[in-house]
Amino acid sequence: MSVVRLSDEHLTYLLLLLRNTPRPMTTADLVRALRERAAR
Amino acid sequence: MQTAEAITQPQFGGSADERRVAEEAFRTIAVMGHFFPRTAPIRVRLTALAEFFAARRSDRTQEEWRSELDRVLTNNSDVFGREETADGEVVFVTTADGRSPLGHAQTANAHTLARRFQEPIPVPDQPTTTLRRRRPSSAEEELIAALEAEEQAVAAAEAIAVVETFEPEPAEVIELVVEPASPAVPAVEIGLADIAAMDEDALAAVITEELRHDLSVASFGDLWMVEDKVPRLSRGDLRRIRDYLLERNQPLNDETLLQDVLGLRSTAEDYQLMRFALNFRLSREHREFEFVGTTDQRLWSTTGLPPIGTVKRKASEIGTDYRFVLEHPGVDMAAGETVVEHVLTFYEYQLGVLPYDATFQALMPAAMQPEQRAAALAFESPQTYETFFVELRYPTGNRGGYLAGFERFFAENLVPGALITIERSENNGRYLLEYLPISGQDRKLLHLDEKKGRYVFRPTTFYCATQENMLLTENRFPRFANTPPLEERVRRRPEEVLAAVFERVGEVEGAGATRRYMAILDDLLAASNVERPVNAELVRSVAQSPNSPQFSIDPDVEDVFYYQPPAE
Repeated sequence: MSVVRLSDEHLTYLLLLLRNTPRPMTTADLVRALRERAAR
Repeated sequence: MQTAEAITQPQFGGSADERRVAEEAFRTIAVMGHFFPRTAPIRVRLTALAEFFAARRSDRTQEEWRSELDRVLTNNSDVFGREETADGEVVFVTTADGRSPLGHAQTANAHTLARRFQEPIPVPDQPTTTLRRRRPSSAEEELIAALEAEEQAVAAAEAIAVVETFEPEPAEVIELVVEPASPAVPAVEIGLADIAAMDEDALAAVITEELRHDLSVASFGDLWMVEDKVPRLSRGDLRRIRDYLLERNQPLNDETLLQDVLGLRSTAEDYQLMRFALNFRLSREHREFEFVGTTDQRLWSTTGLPPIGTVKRKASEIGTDYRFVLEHPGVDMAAGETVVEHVLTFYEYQLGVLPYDATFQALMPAAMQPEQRAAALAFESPQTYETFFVELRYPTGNRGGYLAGFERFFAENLVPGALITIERSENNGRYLLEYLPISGQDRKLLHLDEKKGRYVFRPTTFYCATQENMLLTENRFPRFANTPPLEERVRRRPEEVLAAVFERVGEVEGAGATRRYMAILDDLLAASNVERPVNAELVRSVAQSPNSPQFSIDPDVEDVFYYQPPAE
């Protein structure tokens, strides 16, 4: 049994996205953005 | 009032000529330090002083003046202090008061303005505790607690060791046992490969869990934004929203509030941002506003709005009546089904409520916000052309969930035993409520005479389709007539209600010590639900429970139950 969590790098990236978005983002938006970043 | 400042002149020693030289040197130095505070040291290099004297008096050369001044001023050590710099230069120091500051210069000089500018307050050390972006997980907390315990133990051991060194004889040795840290749940950070491999829902759950505890992130429902970028509502905005809710006298959705109160057009560029801001900011005003919406219909209520539901029984008591639903939620409806058929019980009809059991949980949305207490759902009746709000009370730790607010609709259109259908619309905050209209039927049905506090059978005409097994007619349950409702303490206990119901509706078998009641499930359900909500699962559970041996189930015939009253 373990707790799954995001790395600090990913968390910082999400916070950066949230800071720069002109309108609120959905969880699905964040999932998509994280996947795109991981794919790069 | 002091009008003149007393000035004391320093006294110089030596010959008259030497006194004049010393006095002139003092005046020269005092002029140089004209703007110095009285106690501030004024320093002059001996070379500069000698040069000044040589320029004004031609009777000695600069070198002669240097040795003369050095001698004279050194002799007046009360007034002039003599210092030598690292490179051998002689410096004389005095104050505007005419006292050598050497010896007491440090105290006089300790707090000058110039010094305070030159020596700013030292930057404090870094605090030992820093603001954590992440809330420590339970595993981390356990680990920190274990480390702290270990540190304390080590400190205590050191303290004991120090004490021991001072003691001539070692005292009793105290053994400190540090409990090994319990195996902590490790936190696994997901890497790039994990992100690609995880399914959408799992990743969304991880993101939600991470951001939910971050104080800098604002969230409402499924939406996220950095808190300081979310526009704020003024006290005036909040007051106008509250006034508007009270004026309309019903919960209103966020778009209505945005357009009618804040005057924002739905085509405005920042409409979605302002909608989020309104919802997020209102969710922070716990005292005045309460979220009673769903994901599709974000309704807000305020203190002072009329409560939705019955006044015959307290909301908390109805919740307690439905506690059994937490353990016996009933049958789940098939996936994808959008219509629920339900047969009204007497209890539901009287109070205008419906259970939030497994069937209704599958039809209706779960709470959208973590602390949400209730949701206001709009019910439309196409047969009566009316729409009304119903309150869905979510289950809490020891109270079951239920829907309230049907009291008037049921009383005007239906009878206990009526078959109703509830259909979900595309908006999960709106539902269609229908019944099957039929030509008028006259039956003697059970009613509660509230004046007499007794159950009575009255001729009733109704125009809705019913289910016979839940219809409480005189022919079916004649012994119900003129019985009083059960006492509150009896109603709270399902087994006592069931025993009373057996005596009201069961068939008596045997006599004397073997006398017992027999009843079928349909009769038990219809009659028990007069007193309190009961479902088939609960009846079976009570009948099978080893704690209630007075009940038994017929091993041969399905859904036939027996009750043997305790011996008198």
